[in-house]
Amino acid sequence: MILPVVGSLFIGLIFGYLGQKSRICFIGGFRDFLLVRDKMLLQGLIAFFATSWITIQFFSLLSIIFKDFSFLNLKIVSYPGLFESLKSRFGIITFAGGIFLGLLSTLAGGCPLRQHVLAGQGRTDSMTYLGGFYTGIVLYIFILEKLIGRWI
Amino acid sequence: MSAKKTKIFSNPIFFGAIAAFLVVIAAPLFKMSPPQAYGICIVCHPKDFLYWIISNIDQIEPINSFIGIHAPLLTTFGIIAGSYVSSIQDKEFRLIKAENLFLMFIYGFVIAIIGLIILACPTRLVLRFAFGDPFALLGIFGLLIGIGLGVIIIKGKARN
Repeated sequence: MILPVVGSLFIGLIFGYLGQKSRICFIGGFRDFLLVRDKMLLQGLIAFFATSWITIQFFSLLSIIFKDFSFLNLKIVSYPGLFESLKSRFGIITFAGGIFLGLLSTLAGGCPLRQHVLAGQGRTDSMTYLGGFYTGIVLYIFILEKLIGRWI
Repeated sequence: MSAKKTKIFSNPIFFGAIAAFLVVIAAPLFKMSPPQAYGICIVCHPKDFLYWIISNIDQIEPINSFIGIHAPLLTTFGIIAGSYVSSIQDKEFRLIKAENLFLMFIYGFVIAIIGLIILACPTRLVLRFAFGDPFALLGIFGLLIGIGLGVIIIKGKARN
């Protein structure tokens, strides 16, 4: 069980190091484009999506062609169609949650990843944000999950 | 380090390519597999880390098969450490005092709870959409509407 620990730490270090250098933000891409027509961060977002999609398709192709590579088949769970998901309760909640996530993250000045990077860089307001963030997680685990979990 | 290398590192496209490849390969390479598309999530990984601590204190066998409950995922700590190293290297690290601290606390608090309800931070929404999750597409549509509203509010504030 040491592999996930090392792997997640490594992924975090790479995200933090390159994220600080490139100022990447998953909210900031759209925000900068809408505000000042700056496409720099949006390019990073599109590159992230395109690379992950191509890698997934390539791996699943490999796992179909060669039987030895069957561990590369990443799509273990199959998803419902778009219209079925639109009608389901979780779909509506995800849509509404996305609106609030986008609005509040824009007002806060960055997505959670960007706030972690800024906190590592020494910004006190981002450190306060992280304080609220982890307080929210603790509160969710101990109180809210028992209340909400039933109907989600 | 040469100037050319630093220039590549500060390119968002380079970040996107490297990070996305790492995140996708995390499932077969680092065994970060169930649930699907779990290479990165800024809200779910700390939650699982907390679950891991709780299950170790109480000596309970975890019911869930999620990987983060069996092994601690240190992603967010890695992000802070990596950003600190990078800012020290570029001499960009400095403590900046801000004024609207209470508001930032509330923002973080609400965003964490919403993220846990929809099981994704903005980063994982993109990753889930790349895996073909229709819920993630709905989330991204919502995100776009939310960002549009936020931009309108920012513009209104700037005008006054």
